[in-house]
Amino acid sequence: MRIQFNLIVGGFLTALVILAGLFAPWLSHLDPVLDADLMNAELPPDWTFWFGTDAQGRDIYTRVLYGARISLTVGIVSQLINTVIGLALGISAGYFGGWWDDLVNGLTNVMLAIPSLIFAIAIIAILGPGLPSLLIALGLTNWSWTCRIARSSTLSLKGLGYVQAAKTLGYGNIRIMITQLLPNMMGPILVIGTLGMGGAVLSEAALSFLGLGIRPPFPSWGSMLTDARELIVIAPWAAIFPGLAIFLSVLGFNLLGDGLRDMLDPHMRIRRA
Amino acid sequence: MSGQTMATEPPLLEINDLHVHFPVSGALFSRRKQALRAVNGVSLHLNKGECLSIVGESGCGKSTTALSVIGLQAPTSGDILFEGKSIIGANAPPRMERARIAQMVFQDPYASLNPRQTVHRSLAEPLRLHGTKSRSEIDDRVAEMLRRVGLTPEQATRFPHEFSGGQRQRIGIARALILDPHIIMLDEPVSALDVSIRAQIINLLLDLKEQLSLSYIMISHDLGVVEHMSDRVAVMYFGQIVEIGHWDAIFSSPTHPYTRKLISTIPDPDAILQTGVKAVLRNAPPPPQGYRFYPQDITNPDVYAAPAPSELISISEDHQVRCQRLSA
Repeated sequence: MRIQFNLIVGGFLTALVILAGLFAPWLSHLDPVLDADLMNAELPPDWTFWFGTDAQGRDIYTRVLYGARISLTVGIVSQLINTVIGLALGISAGYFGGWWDDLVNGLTNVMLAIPSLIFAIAIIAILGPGLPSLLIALGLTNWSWTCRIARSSTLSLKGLGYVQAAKTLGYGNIRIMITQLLPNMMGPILVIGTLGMGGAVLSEAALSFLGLGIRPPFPSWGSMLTDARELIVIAPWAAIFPGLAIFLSVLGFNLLGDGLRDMLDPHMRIRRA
Repeated sequence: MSGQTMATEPPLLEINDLHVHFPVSGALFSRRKQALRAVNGVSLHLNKGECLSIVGESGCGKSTTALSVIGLQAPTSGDILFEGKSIIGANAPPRMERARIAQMVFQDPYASLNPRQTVHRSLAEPLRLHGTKSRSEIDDRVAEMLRRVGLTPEQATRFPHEFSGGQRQRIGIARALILDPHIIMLDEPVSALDVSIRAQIINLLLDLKEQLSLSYIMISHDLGVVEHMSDRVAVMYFGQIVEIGHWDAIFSSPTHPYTRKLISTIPDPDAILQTGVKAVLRNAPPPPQGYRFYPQDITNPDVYAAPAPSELISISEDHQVRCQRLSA
């Protein structure tokens, strides 16, 4: 029951965000940047402007749709970078041990000690704001948990019979890591990855809110919140709808992560069959 | 049984003075370096077609010896020879070649199969790795192996969790055999299984040994299984072999005090019925002239110290026991 609930609600919310991003031009005939009309500024939601308009008279519904593209790109790409880095470091550290393990552990502890948002800001300060530097900054700062999970999973798996058997059968180290270790830790890695995706969406919003992410006038949920800050009393809808979009997409990623973990567990599969 | 091989033939596998020591870091700030001496100079040989059992208590070094043979544990010193050629250290054959020498059947059938791979993939991947390219050839080989271990080829598409413990152990045996190795290490092959299943697996192992002319080294502390399967038995204690010989000699005239203690733990229904005594210790033959048994104290070994000098001496044909020479 629970598994189904997480998977269905999480999948529905995530699908909603993906579809909104993909079909934004078909879901709204307006342009998120160019269709600004000061005559229509700060209108409350009605049948013409479903989510109201902002200070420049742009349709918030349209901008939320296009903002989904940014959030999805940031969430997926930065988490892919994080997961690849975390897996490569964590599995190799746990598998080889020795000085490499010590080095990776030290690096992980340093990463955990630095607030990742501050670190991301430092990277953006070097690279300059924009989508590519946002992706790099968020992709390089959140791999510590993935790395830790991968390392501890490797330590508990590498003594098991099937990993030892693979060694005696002549499997190389890389092949053992990819075929024997990696698939058996995908459950927790997937959960960490999707949770991180929600976190990355939040970080993107935070960085864009600070003016370090997506530059105006391009629509990102975070930069929309910045714009709405000054209008929060007279036009609260300008903040409510992008905020709601952030909340629902993060919730969706998290529920999907939980649901996927339970579904991918082979022991669960037989129980349902 | 061991008499099948001729005396002139070199042994299939030879272990010469194998030592495995694990460095143990001392207490915090302590400079003292210690080494846990898991294996202290083990020498033994395995003839083609025989089953040699290594028995002993937990921690006596029998598993470490086995891991050294299949290459998962690098020895501190000593040599392991296959057909007269060294298979460890600098002269070791390449990984792929080594994989065809010895394979292992693991103790826990629930941890010995990759839960994410179908049985077919677990068996086919090693073949592909070792150069079998044709798909039909691989499928045929996998099907043949499954039939040999008493499963059906149709079961290959399933995942490990769909099998019982006994079936999993059969799959583990099939995987150990898939590359056609010469030696199979059996690490407690039935101890994790139901008593009702054990006999089936033991008989399967004995049948396979005949059909494929395999040689076994079995690690066990189940003396019933050892008596049933072995041609020769080595008794290990504190990293050393204290007694080695033909199974009959070990079970009917155990000589070393430790062996006698082990053998006395086998429940003997007849003796219990007749005398009401649970364990019967036969009278020990005295040690040969000029020697005494080593170790004498079989309760509290110091695993960090080197054992006192001692030697294995023959007390009858194919029966040796560890003694300490008395200074004259």
